[in-house]
Formats: sequence, C-alpha cells, structure tokens
Amino acid sequence: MVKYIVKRLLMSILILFGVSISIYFLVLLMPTDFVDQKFASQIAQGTMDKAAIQEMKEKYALADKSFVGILKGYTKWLGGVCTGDLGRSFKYDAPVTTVIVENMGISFGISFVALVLQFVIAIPLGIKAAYHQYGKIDYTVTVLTMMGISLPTFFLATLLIQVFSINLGWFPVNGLVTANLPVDTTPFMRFMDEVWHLVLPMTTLVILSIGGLMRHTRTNMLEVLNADYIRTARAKGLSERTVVYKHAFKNTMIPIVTMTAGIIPSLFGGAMITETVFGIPGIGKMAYDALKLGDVPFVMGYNMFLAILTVIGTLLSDLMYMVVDPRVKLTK
Amino acid sequence: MAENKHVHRISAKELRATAKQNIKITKRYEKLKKRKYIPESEYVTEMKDSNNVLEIENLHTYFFTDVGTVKAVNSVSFNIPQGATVGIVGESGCGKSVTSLSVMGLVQGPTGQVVDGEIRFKSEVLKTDEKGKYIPVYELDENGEKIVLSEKINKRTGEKIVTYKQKQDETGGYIFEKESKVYNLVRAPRSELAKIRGREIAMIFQEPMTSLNPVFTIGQQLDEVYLLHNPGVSKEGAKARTYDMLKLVGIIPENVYTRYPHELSGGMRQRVVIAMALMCNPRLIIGDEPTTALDVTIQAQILELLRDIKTKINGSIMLITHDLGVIAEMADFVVVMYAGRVIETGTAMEIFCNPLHPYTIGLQKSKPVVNQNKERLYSIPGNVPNPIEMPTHCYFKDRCDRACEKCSGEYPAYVQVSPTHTVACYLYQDQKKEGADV
Amino acid sequence: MEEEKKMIEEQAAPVQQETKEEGFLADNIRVLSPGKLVARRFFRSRLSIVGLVVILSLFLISFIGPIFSRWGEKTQDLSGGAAIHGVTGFEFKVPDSDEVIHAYIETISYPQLNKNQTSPSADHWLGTDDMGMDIFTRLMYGGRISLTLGFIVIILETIIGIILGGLAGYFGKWVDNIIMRIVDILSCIPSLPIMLIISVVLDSNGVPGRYKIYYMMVMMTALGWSGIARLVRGQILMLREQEYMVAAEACGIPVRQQIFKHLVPNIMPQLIVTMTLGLGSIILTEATLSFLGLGVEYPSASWGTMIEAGANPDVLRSGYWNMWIPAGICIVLAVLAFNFIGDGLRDAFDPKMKR
Repeated sequence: MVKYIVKRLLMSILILFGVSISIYFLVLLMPTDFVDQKFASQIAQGTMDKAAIQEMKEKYALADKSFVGILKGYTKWLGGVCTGDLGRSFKYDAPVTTVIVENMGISFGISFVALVLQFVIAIPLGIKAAYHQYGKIDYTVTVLTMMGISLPTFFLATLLIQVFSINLGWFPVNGLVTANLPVDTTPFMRFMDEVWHLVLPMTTLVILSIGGLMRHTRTNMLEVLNADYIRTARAKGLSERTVVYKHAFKNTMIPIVTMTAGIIPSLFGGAMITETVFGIPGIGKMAYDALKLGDVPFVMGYNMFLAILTVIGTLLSDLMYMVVDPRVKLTK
Repeated sequence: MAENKHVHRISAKELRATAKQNIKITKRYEKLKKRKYIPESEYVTEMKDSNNVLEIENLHTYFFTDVGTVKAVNSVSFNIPQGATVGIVGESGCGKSVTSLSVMGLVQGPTGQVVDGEIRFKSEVLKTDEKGKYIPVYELDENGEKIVLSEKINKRTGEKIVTYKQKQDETGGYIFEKESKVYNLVRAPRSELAKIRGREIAMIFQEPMTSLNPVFTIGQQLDEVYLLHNPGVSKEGAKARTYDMLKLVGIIPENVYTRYPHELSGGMRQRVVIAMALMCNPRLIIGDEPTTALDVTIQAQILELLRDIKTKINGSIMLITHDLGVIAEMADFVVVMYAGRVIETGTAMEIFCNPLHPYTIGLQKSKPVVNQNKERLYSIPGNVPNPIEMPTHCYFKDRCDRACEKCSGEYPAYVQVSPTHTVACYLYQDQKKEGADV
Repeated sequence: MEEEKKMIEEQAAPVQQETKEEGFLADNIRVLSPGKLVARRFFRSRLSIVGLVVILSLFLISFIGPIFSRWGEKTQDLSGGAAIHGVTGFEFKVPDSDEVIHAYIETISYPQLNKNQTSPSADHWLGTDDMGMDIFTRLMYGGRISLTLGFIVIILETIIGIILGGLAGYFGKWVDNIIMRIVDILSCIPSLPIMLIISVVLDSNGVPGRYKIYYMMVMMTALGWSGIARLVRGQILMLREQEYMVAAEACGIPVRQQIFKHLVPNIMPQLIVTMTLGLGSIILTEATLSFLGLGVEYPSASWGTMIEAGANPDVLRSGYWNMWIPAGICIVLAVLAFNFIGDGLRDAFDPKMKR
C-alpha cells in the first residue's frame, strides 16, 4: 500500500513536470517585448524598475530564446516554484500565491455548496430513475440530465440574470456585495447579503453539474440492480426498500464516492465562466482577468495550481477506491 | 439451399406492434402485482393433497420480448411432497430455472410475467389478532401460570399493564403463535412473499461467484436473514446461529465470518450460499443447479451436505439440474421438462429403469457410462424448437425417432402409466386408458 | 456433410417431408442481423429520433438556408434603427433605509451605428442586432461554423487518438509508457486557461482575428485526443486478455492478425458513441471560446459571439431578447441532439440493454 502510494506520488511529480514544461513553452511563444508593453504603466508609475523586469524576462526566457537561455530561465522558475514562489502578478501587483490564496475562499464556498446540493438532489433522483427504468421518472430525469449537460454555462448564467434579476428583480445582477450598504450593517447582514448575491451563481453550478452525477448514479444503479446478488437479497425475503437502499446502494456508492474524492480539490480552482458572468471576485474571475491580459507569472502560477489540484484529485480518488471497495484493498 | 426461403425476417412494423402490445400486457400484470391492498381471499387456497409442501398447477410464465412472446414455462404441473427431493431435469433453456424463479416470485419483470396457473405452498405463518399484531406465546411456570415480568399502571387511564415473559428460542428470538395457511404464491402480495422467502422457501443459486454481495462481509449477509425473519433476536443470537450453520456446511466460522466474498474460493462461497439458505430452517430448499459451477469432488461434498441437511431439518428439496447423475444420486421423484413443458414424471426408479418418453430415453442414452464400450455417444438429433413460435403439435416431434402420424395432431395428453408415472406421448396412449392430469 | 445427413434423415422420415410447407422450426427463427438490431434498438428510443431529426434540420437550415435569405452574414440594414427606445436602469439604495430605488431613463435615439437592434418583424424574422445585421441569417452562418468545426475537430481527434492509442496498446513497453504519460499530462492541463493563453500569444504575435478560430481548432484537437487514445489502448489491452485470443493463438493464428480483426468490431460501437458525445462537447467549447472572444470574432457569425453580444446588462435590460436567446437555443438544441443520439447509440450497441 505504502509502496503503491509512493509510486503514485513519484508519477504525479513527473506529470506535473511535464505540465510545467508544456505551459512554459506556450509562454515562450510570446514576443520578447511583450512584458515591456504590459509593464509600461507600472514602470511609468515607478512601482517597478527595469531590473525587476529584466529578471522576469530571464525567468520566462523571453529575453534570450536560445536553448541555454530557456534552460536557465526554466531552472530559475522551477527553483522558485519549489520554494513556493510563483512570481509576481503584474495585473494585481502582488505575489501570485497571495492572489490565489486570498481569492480561493469565495470560489470554494460557492462550489462546495453547489456540490452538496447537487449530491442531495442527484443521487436520490438517479436511484429512482434506475429503479423505474423506462418509466416516467426515468424519462424526466434523462431529459433533465441532458438539458443540464447541454446548456452552455454562459448562456444559462445570462438567462438566469435576465429572468431572475432583470425581469423579476429577485436577485442582484452581479457582484458580491450591494453597493452603498449602510455603515452599521451587522456582519450577519453582510453575510446574508453575500449569500443573496450568490444564489444565482450557485444555481448555475448546480444545474450544470447535476446532470452528470444523475446519469452516473443511474447507470451504476442499473448495473447493480441487474446483479445476481440483488436477486439473492430478494430471495432472502428482504423488502424492496432494503434491497435498493442497502444492498444496491452500497455498491452504487463505490464509484460515486471515488468520483467525489476526485472533485474535491478542483473546488478550489474556481468556476471561471460563472464567476466572470456574475462578476464574483473569486479565483476564477481573477484568473480570467489576468489571463486575458497575458499576465505571464499568473499564467504559469495559476495553471500549475490547477494541475496540482487535478493530480491530487486523481490520487485521492484512487486512494478512496481502496478505502471504499473491499475488493481492492488486499490486491494492491 | 432451399431452406433459405423459409427464413423469415420480421418487419419493423411487426416489431413495433409487438413492442406496443408487450408494454400494454406487462403494464397490466405489473399493476395487478403492485396493488396496495390485496384481499386475502385472492391468494389463500387449499392444498389438493395435504402431504405436499408445494403444488404447481398449470403454471405459465411468459417473457414478452420484442421479437415475440417466449413461453418459457408453458403449463407445468407437479407436486413436491413433504420431506421428498424432487429433481427437475432438462436441457438448458427448457424452463427449469424459470419455474423455480416463479415459485420465489423473482421472475425479472416487467418482461417476465407469470401469466396463469397456481403455485400452492403450505406456509406456517405467524398468527395475527384482530389488530393485526402477532400473538405471543408466553412461558408458563410449573402451575401453568404465565410468568409476570413487570407491572405498570397507565397513569392516564389507571389501567394495569402486565408484561408477561414471552417464550424465546435458544437464539433469543421471540416465539409467536403460528398457523398453517396455504398461499397461492402467484397471487400473493409482495409483502407476504417477502415473509415466505428466506424463511420457508430458500433458494440456492447457480453462480456462487456472483450471488453474494461483494461489499458486505459473509457474517453480515448471513446474520441479516436470521435477524429479518426472527423478531427479537439479538445480534449475538444471529451470530451464534450463523456460526452453527457455517459449521453445518463444513466451514470453520471464525475463518470466514468477517471475510468478504471475494476472499473465498468458489466451493466455499457455494457453501456460504447454502448456509444462507438454511438459516431459518426452510421447509423447502430450491437448488438451482447448485453444483454446476463446482468441480466434481466439491460437487459430491455439496450433494452429500444437502442430503444430510434435508434429513436434519426435515425439509423438501427441489433440485434443478441437467446432470442426470446428480438426479440419480439425490432425487426421490423426477420431473423431466422439455421446451417449457413437463413431458414425464415419476419416481427416480421409474424414470431411470423404465423411461418412456423418447426424449427421456434420449437423455439417458446421451449420458456416458463408464464400463460400456461404445464408439460414439448418442446425441439427440436436431435442436430445441424456437421458443417464440412453438408448434401446436408435440414439441419433440421433429427430433423424435419414433414419431408417427398422430404426432402431428394436437399436443399429447398425459398418460398415467403407473400411480406415480405419467408421460405425455402418443406412443403410450393406447396402452392405458385416458390419462388424467398430473 | 451436414446437408447429406439431413437429406438422408428427410428421406427416412416422410412425415417430416410433408410438413415442410409449414417450415422447419429452425427455418422459422426470426433472424436479425446485428446491424439491423442496433438500428432497431436505436429507432426504438423516441429521444434518439428526436435528436436525429433536430441535427438533420439544423444541418439543412444552416447549409441551405442562407441561399434563400435576402440578407448576408454581414449585410447591415440600418433602416430599422429609427427612433428606438432604449432604457437604461440604475439601482441604488436610499441611505438610512432598506429601500432600493430602481430608476430607468428612457432614451430615444436615432439611427446610428451600434443602435440598430430591432425586434422580430416580417423583414427580419428574428430581428436585427445592434449593427443591423439579420439575426436569423447569422444564426444559419453560425450553425455552419459550429457544426463543421465540431466534425473536423472530432475526426482529427479520432484519427490521432486511434493511431497513438493503437501504438501504445499494440507495442506496449516503452512506447506505451511514453504515450500514456503524454496522455496523463494532457489530462492535467486545464483547457480553458490554456486557450486563454494561446489567444494572448496569438494576439501578441499579431495573428489576424479571423484566423484565430483555426488555431483554436488545432489546440482543441491537440488537447482532446487523449480520451480516444485511452479508449483504443484499453480495448487492445482488453482484447489481448480475452480467452478467445488465447484460443486463436492456440490455433496458430498470429495474435497481431487477431487483434486487428477483433479490434474493429469491438471498438467501433464505443468509438462512435464517444465521437457523437464528443461532438456535443466540442460545440460547447467552441461556443464558450467565441463567447469569451477567443474564437470566431465579430462580425463573423457564431452562436457564441451572438450570445456575447447580448450578455451585458444593458442589452438585457433593453429587452432585445432576440439578440441572444435564439443563438443559445441553437447551441442547446445541437448539443442536446448529439447527446440524445450518442445515448441512443450507446443503448443500441449495448446488448445488455436488450429488453
């Protein structure tokens, strides 16, 4: 078991290394004077001096695109990453790590609540649909699922804004805080205000992700319900409820729990489009703004951050598999 | 080849029509089954012969598929007497398993439906009083008085509530009054069926590898049956019972109780499945090819075990197999099935020493015998007819080497050759007077 | 041999010969070829038929429709912009109270650039956008882009995926190791951020906007083939472990020959399903990129860009829903249809789903 984990960790590091090289070469494709242009204003304001820019150019091999230059730049950058220094974002004029850490909270909050809601709704519906295969519930669930999968995020978000914010006026159009909040607003009221702003974004996330989970649950459940051991359970005289919600459910949960473990790290990465359309200052929107400007340090830093999250996710889900499924435990 | 002309491909129209009709039919049956309240008069009947545990009469189980209706079980009738082992033989696909699943009420719906017929089972059910509660059996002291456990006075009404000591069995299960009722399992509601399954009729399935739930331990799966059917039993009581049963099937309980199914070998798993079937002392055990998936030495052990257990719990066994050797070893009575119908029944002696139906004879001939020197093993020519379009004449006619003109007529009636021996074949029609139903 | 035996048997049993007209039972077996079975199961599902009809009509309308349209993709009709009412809204809080005041300022403006939105009319079935371009016509042009692009990308992805996955599965060892590690890396690279960077790289290198979508296509292909490669490799490895492969080897038939012989029928169903479902997601990605301004650039029409035109609060408040909702519906319809077809195919191919 320990040997397996160590092997997986080493493999993960190798993968991350590959990811970093790929992104690094993409950045390399930018013209040499790119950084100069982008930092023009900061230089003019005097917040940044020429030496810092030169150092940055070196780090991203924008100054010297010879092989040696690239190698030197890459090792320098890698050294920084290993010590936790992802560089300094010029869009936010702050270290990339700080930007990421500071804005991660709100993104995680939205995604987490959305995830919980999604589970509460999708799993029971998926089970019901599988149990009544080809019945009315099944068709409804299938169509809803498909709708969820087929809706483009930005379209759904815009639609929700049009209907609930503009036509009905129930929710704010965008942002996280109401402008001109009275000074004496209690922290609780402020919190409620934020929640009020976050209802639509969360709804968007739930609607979009619910379909996949529902389908996943349904397919798994269908497979399990046709298994021989379900027939055995019925032959024991168990009630349908026990058969479905104890014997079948535990088997269905194995892939779902595994999948969830894989999702958790990605909750920190932010929902880029949703946050952008709703104007919520989470990590997703921050990243979008910086990436659109070509904020080189942020690009490298943020992408590495996401890659690390993904790697952790796959690792977690594999480990989870061993924890949940008794069949896997001993073979590995 | 000339036959090619006869190949009939179904048109899309036909398909849609059958599909539509199937949905209609299956919906009707499903609705009938799913009714909330089913009056007792619909499913409580009487046994024809009180010596029988199970009487199957005129059973029809159909599968409504897209290409047509498969009559998997087509008018099957036979009895299982108390304490006897009845073997059901036949080729694969002849409806043996479907018959057993019909008894358990486990035919996979909505495609599969028991369309007609009765399955009567003598059940020992817990007696209920007018409020629908079970009537407890109390322990009596030397004077024949109930033992008072506690006395309480209801504060509101001032009534005295006396709790008596209820009788318990050795595992701590409370004992209630029982009564004997005959259920028609085809019409019985699901809740009643659930009470019978596992407690009075237990089934041993064919595939030991897949019939245990992979995510529960052996202990959990066995305890569950006992806890379910014996109200009041403690977990320790159930565990004790599980240990007993595992010992009975020849497993050291400590080794497997906390194990998961995948950690056991096939033979072990089949033993566990058998132990599971024995948990509640069922009066009827249905073995659906319990030894097919096992190798020969283990097969013998398992059969030995089943026979032992039968005498121990005084139950009946319905043994389904295509292995004549197993039948010869185990069965008191034999039912031979072909293409969804019973073609011959009789005692094991009669079937083996005096087989009458050409198919039964063929079956026996195709069994290898050790000390006989034959160049080739006999095989019955031809194939089983397509289950979707069954002919009206004898199903075996086309493969029969003794077919005569009469055989093209309608399906032969049963001929009673001896009090226990019946056969459905025209060859014997003249020998005896009109045959009655089984 | 078989026939001879039958003949003899037939002669020996005259009764059987007589009933030949009714047909032997075996002859009467209703035979369906596997292809027909799949087709039948596919058309059995109402959703698959709906999907097929929707996709076909979208294709027809997109590719044939513009021929009959009076308007071109970029023709501007400024006549409709006469005196339109624009409404701009404000929202502010009254100090020291909970009241929120919504104020609207109604403006009347005259024909000018960017203010030519019109509602649906006989001339313009779905109205015009702010540049006075016919929305219905643009929807058709957008459809051309989205649908063709989807097909091109998925076909390229499949080709690369089959080749690399096939190599990995067939040769195994270090070839497999290298290819699969690349696949791992690709699946760890976040696609949207990468697309954003590429867009910036293209911009900074001065690539004209109209070519951008092609670069994006290439990138989408480059990032997307890994799934199919995994599928193909997995299938080959699975095939190798099948017992019938062992049986074939025992018969002296080379494994290599067997793999290719069995691979095609084994993998085709899954591949077709993956491709169909992939088509939907590619259309979604393309729309998202266009929406973010990374794909097709205005004034070229694309469903994504058309929604972007509507997705700012001002347009939303003005009530010109016709500027963006039809495009959104088109995307949803297309993706939904592909998903329906893909699901229908999956069920049709899977013999376990037989009812």
